[in-house]
Amino acid sequence: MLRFYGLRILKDYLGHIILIGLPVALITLMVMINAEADAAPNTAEAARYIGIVYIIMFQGFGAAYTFEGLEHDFFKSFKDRLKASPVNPMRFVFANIGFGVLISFLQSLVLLVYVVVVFGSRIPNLPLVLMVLFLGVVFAQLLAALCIFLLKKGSKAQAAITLYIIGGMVLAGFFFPLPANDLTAWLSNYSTPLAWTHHAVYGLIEGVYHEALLGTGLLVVATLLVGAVVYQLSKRVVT
Amino acid sequence: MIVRMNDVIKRYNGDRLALDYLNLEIKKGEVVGLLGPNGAGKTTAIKAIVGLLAVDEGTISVFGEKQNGQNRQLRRRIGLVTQDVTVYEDLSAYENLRFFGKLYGLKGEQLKARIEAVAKLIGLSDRLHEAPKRFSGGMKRRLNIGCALLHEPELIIMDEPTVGIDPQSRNYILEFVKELAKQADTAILYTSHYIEEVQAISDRVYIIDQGHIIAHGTVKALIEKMQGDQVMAITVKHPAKATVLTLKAIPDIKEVSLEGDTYQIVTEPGVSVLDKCLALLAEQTITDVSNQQANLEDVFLMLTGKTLRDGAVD
Repeated sequence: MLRFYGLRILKDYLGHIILIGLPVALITLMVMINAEADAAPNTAEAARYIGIVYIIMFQGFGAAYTFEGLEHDFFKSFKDRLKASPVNPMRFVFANIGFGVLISFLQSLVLLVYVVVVFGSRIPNLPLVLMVLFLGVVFAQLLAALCIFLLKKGSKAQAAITLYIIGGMVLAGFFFPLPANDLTAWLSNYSTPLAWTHHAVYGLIEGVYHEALLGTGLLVVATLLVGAVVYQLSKRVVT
Repeated sequence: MIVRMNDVIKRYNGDRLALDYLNLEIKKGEVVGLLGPNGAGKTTAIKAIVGLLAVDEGTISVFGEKQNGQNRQLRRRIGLVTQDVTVYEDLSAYENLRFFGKLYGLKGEQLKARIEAVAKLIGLSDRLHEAPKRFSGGMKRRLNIGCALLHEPELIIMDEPTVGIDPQSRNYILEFVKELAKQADTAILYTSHYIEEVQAISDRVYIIDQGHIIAHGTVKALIEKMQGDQVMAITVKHPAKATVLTLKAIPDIKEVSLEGDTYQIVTEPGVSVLDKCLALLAEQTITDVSNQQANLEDVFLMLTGKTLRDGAVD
């Protein structure tokens, strides 16, 4: 069964191109634009900042793996066939989310390796940074499961996730610089789980551990909460 | 007894009756046809047997055990062919068969041997490593059936397995269903709204309408019910649906339907209504008149007042 789910997700060539190729192109473009600007930080630092932002953003878009898989298995005609098998259908839910997490995390790794190798960015506390990024992936995939279980249609789940990502990125000031004040500073660090992930990662990179712990803690709590709701909803969906 | 449904009632949304005191039995080794128009309750009955939905009243036993939807071991003995093609289009036929075989506990050499045997049965041995998205509709249907046969189920349930495919593929499927039926221990429940399919493969037939079994028996016995009746076909150039009611009003006519350009008229034996019919249909330009042998379709027509044509209920 695991081999089948693995093959199914690997066959999504278009998804891989979008979720790896597009951020690589965007990171490169943004680093080049940034290098032209006056008073720009050095390229390696800029690439690291831009790279982390795009990794987090595309972790959100990577949620498509989970909601598309769950939609196929439980909200289309396939559901009767799976539910008629002797296998506990919860295993199909876990397989979808599990492989979504795995592939999306591998994509995050590819992007991180890209900024390190191509732009020479340094990532202090790398194992802990990877752990936080992994947590971000888990949250994104669970959020995708929540959306499909509540909205029951892939297109609606896609719209909700896109709104969340775009809204979250704008609120956190990742797309456009926001006016410097207490509110925007707070939004930048704490407005959404996307901001928490970024805050935690940068806390680790800059050695501000209490902030890293705060961001990670918020992310852990959110992941546990969403996970618990997803578990309850999935029991309802599979029966 | 493989399946026994006793006075099963299923309501959707609290009131819409999908199964109405349904009684049905399937014995070991027999092919049972479940015939009815779209919306008659065939798929609901199947879901109840497999345990995919709970019924409101009545009892269902499968292999002698109560079907309550919780017993996963029962499912190991059932092969469900869904009405929609439910295979993964991007993965090869082999991977699809392997996946479903694994779900039912097959592995290793046994799995490999079963995949080869099923691929041969469904005529896909030479296309096994191609993705179904490149298959014709008929080939996808065959793969869809194959996925339900890997674990050699004792009960195979086929929910309209030939919908939307060409006659050649349909014949192929019917032929291998007949092959399956020869395996003494396998019982098959075959639902369709194609009467000729059910007539061709079934040992016994249940006719279902509005969630209720309105007749059952062997095809022969059901047709014998009609043997006393005469079925006359009058073909015209300009048929009119309203004429059906006018014809029905003629004394001694039991049932009338309009199929294409032809009125099918069922009468009591020894009664001649031909003159009256010809007079009534003269303005529609009669092109042919014939007497027909009763078949399962006539039985259905007599029992329900409807005909079945490609999913449409006249």
